[in-house]
Amino acid sequence: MNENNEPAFEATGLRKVFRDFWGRPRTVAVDGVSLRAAPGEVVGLLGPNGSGKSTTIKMLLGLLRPSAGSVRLFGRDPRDPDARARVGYLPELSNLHKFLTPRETLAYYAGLFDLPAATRRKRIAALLERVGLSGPGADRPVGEFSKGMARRVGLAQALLNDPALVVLDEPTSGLDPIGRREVKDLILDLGRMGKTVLLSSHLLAEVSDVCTRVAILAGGRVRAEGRLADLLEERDRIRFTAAGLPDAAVPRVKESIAAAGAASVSVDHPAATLEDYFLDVVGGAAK
Amino acid sequence: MRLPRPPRLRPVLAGAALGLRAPLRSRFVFALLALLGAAVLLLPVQLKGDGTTAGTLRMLLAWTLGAAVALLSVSTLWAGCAAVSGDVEGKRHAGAAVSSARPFELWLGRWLGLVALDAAVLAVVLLAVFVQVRARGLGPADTAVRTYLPLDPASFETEVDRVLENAIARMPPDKRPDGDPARRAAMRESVREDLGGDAFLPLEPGEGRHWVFRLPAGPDPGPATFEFSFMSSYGESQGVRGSLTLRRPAGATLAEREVTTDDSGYVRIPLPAGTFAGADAVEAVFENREGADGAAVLLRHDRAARLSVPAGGLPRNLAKTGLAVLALLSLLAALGLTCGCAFSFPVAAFAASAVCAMVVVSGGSAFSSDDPASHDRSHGGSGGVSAAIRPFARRVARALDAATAPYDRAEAIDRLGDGVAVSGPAAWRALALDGVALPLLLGLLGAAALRRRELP
Repeated sequence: MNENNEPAFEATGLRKVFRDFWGRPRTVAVDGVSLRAAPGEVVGLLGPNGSGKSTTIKMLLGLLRPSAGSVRLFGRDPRDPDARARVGYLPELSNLHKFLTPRETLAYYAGLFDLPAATRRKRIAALLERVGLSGPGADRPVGEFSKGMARRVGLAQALLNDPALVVLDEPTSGLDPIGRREVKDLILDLGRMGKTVLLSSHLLAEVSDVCTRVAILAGGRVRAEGRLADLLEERDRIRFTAAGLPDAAVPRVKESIAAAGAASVSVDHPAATLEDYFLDVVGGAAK
Repeated sequence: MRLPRPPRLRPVLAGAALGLRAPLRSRFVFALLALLGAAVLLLPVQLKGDGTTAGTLRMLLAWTLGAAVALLSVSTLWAGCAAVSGDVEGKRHAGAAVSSARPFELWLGRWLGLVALDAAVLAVVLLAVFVQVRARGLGPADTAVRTYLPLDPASFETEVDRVLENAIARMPPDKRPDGDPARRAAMRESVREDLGGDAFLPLEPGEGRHWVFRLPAGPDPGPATFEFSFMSSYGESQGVRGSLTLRRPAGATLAEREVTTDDSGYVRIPLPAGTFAGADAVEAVFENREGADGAAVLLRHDRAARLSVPAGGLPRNLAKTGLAVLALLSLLAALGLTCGCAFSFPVAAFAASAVCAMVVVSGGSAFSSDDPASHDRSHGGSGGVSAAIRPFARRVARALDAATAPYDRAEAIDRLGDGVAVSGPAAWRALALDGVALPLLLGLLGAAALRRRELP
């Protein structure tokens, strides 16, 4: 939990222009993105391929310099080691050192995070157990692993320093359905523990299951952002729900709903699926 | 301004462990060991010596070790270039970049790992060379190391005065600097520079040259060797005739010998143990005994007369050579790593190799000379575009020379091959400056480059 209740991250007006060798602007990958996450939120970052999700994440973490705008991590510059000490990051392409075993990989990153030996040993054992690599697999070179198994190692590495902010870029990529479920459960656990999670994914179902807020990027801009329930609610429609009420009675129900006194009548607004909403927003941006 | 915080041990050791594991778990090390094995074990079999013990030793020590060091140097440079740039291009660096490890800690760890690997491989190479020497039946007596005693500084100034008086005596009376102290002082300074430099100065018939060597304090140093080197100024036809005397200063003569053209420019006088008993200095005198029309003898003052005494054995000399060579490898690792922090591998390898080539060229280049005017004259004048570049090129050449001067001055491999003691202080100085201080400066540059580098 962020002690000062300041945002875990705050990006304002981020813009990233990639230039060619001669310095001429080639691509505007991100154009005026503003994003923040309060402590304990699970934020989903959605968007089609090339929408600027990974670029935004990399600017948040200081891996790319914004062409314009500002970024703060826990109120500090993202390149500040003290800010980074509280961040765990699983990149979209988490290529690990193929010649290291999972145990050695985690030991390496534990060293980089300056973890004491006792903490390191306990945490590595617990994380290997958590990601299902506590058996003989822990001592095989990562180069012999499938993509999904290597992804599990990356996930363990992202949690090694017990971060306050966990940034996961396509965390379930390459995982089987069981693995995906385990990752979802992990993210929910992280949220319950008060950690802030930024999740970037193409899989809308998994985002809708775990995120409290989403931001949808398209063309390098935030097209929609807010609490998931608010975004998916269709306010121009009202749904009446009644137990055992025939269809013909609907007009009369509307007149007499207040006087009827029915015990099990409820009225709510229907919600579209996230997938429908996503396609609607992205389609609108393309026009 | 905030002072930089010192590097933390755990992140550095984590990087060092990775830096050690990466080459050890790749085919790179096997290829390197195979090439080193060929250099150290097979090359001496192929080379034909000159049949002498000294020649065999030079072949085993200088040539074999030189080839091995060249291989290690290239591999270290390129391994340094590949270490970080490979991680960046292979998208393995993001995890480290987002960790709380600072860029300098990441650089320092990888550098220490490379240096540790180099030290281990170098130790194996030196051991293999030593085993080869012994396997050829060359025992401690054959591989005894000697050291050249330095010239006494006070006697050098006396010799400057003597050479100046001789030179003035040869001048026409109206050209002499009598009554002109400033001119006399300028002449003395010129003689001093010549005598202390690498110029060959003429010793005219009837003149003499003196050298005084301070003997080390303590017991008799053992059997010594006196060497005298000279050149004839006008070729063989004029001939050389002189006398060489070794004596205690104002005391008994220890050895005496005539020197002629038949000596082919080199005289060696072995002196048995006990020769210097009770003495704290030895004086060598050479007098040109040719007639007035005879030839001058050309002498380079610092090399013409040399007195050497035993100075330990081969193992200690190999160890000191190892220190100096490790300094070089540390510097190359640092250069490669720093270039790799800034550029992709091909560019880093090119840049690092180009810097090394510039260092090699600058050492023998007139750009590093102290006389810019003479360099300009020899290179076709002082005008044009090249004239604008020359001052910059000169500064670059001198900076590169200065950067590697500690290692160069140790002259480790050359001395090892010649059976001369590598100076311990020089070897340690090379390690401290070229092996630690300069690499750490390069590390700051590398860390700055890493901090600025983007990871798209």
